Amino acid sequence: MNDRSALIQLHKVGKRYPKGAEDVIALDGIDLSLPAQGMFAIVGPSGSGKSSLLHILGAMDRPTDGEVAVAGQSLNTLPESGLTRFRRKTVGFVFQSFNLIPNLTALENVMLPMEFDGVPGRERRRRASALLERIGLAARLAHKPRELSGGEQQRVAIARALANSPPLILADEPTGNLDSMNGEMIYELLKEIAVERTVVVVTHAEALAGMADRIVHIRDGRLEV
Amino acid sequence: MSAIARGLINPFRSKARAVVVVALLSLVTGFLALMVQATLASREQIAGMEGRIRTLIELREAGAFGTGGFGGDQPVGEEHFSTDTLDAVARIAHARHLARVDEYVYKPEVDSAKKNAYAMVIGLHPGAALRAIGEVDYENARIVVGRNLTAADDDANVAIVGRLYAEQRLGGEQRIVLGGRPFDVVGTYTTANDFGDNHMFIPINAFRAAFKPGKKLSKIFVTVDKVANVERVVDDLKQIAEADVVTAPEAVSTARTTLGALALSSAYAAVLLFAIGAVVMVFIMVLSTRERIREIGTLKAIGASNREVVLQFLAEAFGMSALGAAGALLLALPLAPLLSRMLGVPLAFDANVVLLVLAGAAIFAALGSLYPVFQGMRSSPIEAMRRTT
Repeated sequence: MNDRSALIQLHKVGKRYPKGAEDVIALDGIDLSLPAQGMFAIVGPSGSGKSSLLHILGAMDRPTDGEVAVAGQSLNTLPESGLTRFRRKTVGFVFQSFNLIPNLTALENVMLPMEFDGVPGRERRRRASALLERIGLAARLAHKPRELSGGEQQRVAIARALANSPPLILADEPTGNLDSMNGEMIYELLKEIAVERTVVVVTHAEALAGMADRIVHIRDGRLEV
Repeated sequence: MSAIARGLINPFRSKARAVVVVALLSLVTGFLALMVQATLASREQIAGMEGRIRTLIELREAGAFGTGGFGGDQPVGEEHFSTDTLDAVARIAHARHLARVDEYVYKPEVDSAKKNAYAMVIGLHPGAALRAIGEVDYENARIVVGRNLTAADDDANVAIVGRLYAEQRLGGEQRIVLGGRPFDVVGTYTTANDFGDNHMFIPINAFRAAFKPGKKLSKIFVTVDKVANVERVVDDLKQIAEADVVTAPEAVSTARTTLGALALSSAYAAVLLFAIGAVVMVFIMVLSTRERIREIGTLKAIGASNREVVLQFLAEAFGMSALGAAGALLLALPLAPLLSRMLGVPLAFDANVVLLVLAGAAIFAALGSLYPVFQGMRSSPIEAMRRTT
């Protein structure tokens, strides 16, 4: 926990889930340090702990052991309100099934994180429009998720993740629900945004992993060297 | 779009469901408000009636049988229970509110050819209530054959007879002779009681012409100014030799029973409607929350605080309830007079109904919010997103 240039620092991180009389070990003694820029892929078989690791990095879950620091904030000690603030400002999530709010338009979906962050209405509309234009959805601002293709929905989700300009983007199987053509488009987009921030992608897709600056292998809750 | 605005548009994700829920809430909230008002109105009526009846004292001729006056009637010119009695009553302290009731004048009619064949001829103003007499007065007489007396019958020799009288005494004839004058029978009434159904009503002018009752009165009603003074006035009235004093505990009891039953059934209906409204609202909000539990997780994952999630669901519940309240008010407008006629209580669309509708809607919304608020506060983003239902 002494690399000051790293955005993410994990020291002996463990996560256990109680299941019946025994605990299931999802993560076991993870030591990991990732810099403030670049694209990093976490790969491993199903149940290896990839998603658990991502959830801990995104303050969606707390570790049972070890220390987690992201962007200089220790997630072990942050209170619930601090974790909410962390998720709002420091991290952006991209989900496999997009998780857009169905009765809001693309523009409104992208504006949501900014609303939670207290950005004034006019400013968040301007920024959300700019983000959607940047990812090629200028003509889809007023469309609701059901009126968009899978690839378009995922691009809206990426724009939403970028809304508050967080230093860290976490993507959980972002191409898992997309065809290969749309998948490639998403790879390119993630690679592009990784130029100015850290993008951590959990994926089974070798092509996407191959584009990463570093691949982190995980098996049975442990990192493979 | 704020959490409140999102909450307000959320019910319309499924328009059909929103319409059904709002319609249900409108019905339940509207009826609930009216039933609560009916309960309150019935209780108010009971209290008012009790107050009135407890201070009401009836005087009738001394020695009269039942309320009919049998055995106590004196020949015209020798009557004691008359307008002179009224003057004596007027001199009693606290008996300030006097009601001289002379539109009903009774005349026994006995058919010596038949056993127990006696009846009363009752003179009344056409259009007045058909107050048949028996052990108690029967005020529920209704015409079953022919017609009632009308204003046009003021000076006519016409009669309405009781069901029993018609069966036992008319023998198919539509004409009777009273005081030596022929009367056409224009209708038959019933009180569903043999005593009550054994009399006849004729216009009071025809009664006076036939029987010449002079100063004779049937009854005097005395209203005491306060309940506390009733006993003192009763004691004073008992000093009047020609009058028997009758208070009306059984009338209070009957009124209490009838209106009490109505108040109780209205209260039961209100409780039932409240339960239905609460169940509808809680069910729909539980359903909405469970359907959107992943959405709660997503909102939290992208930075929503518990407060924002809870605010959204509160707005949704209160928005839906507000629509229900609006529908309830629209519904209560025509329903209030309809229920008033059906239940016989003064039920009107007034400020009370509006307040009751708003209160009911607010309580439903609060109840419906409990589960979403609990889930919104409790669920961590990852727990919520892992759940599919």
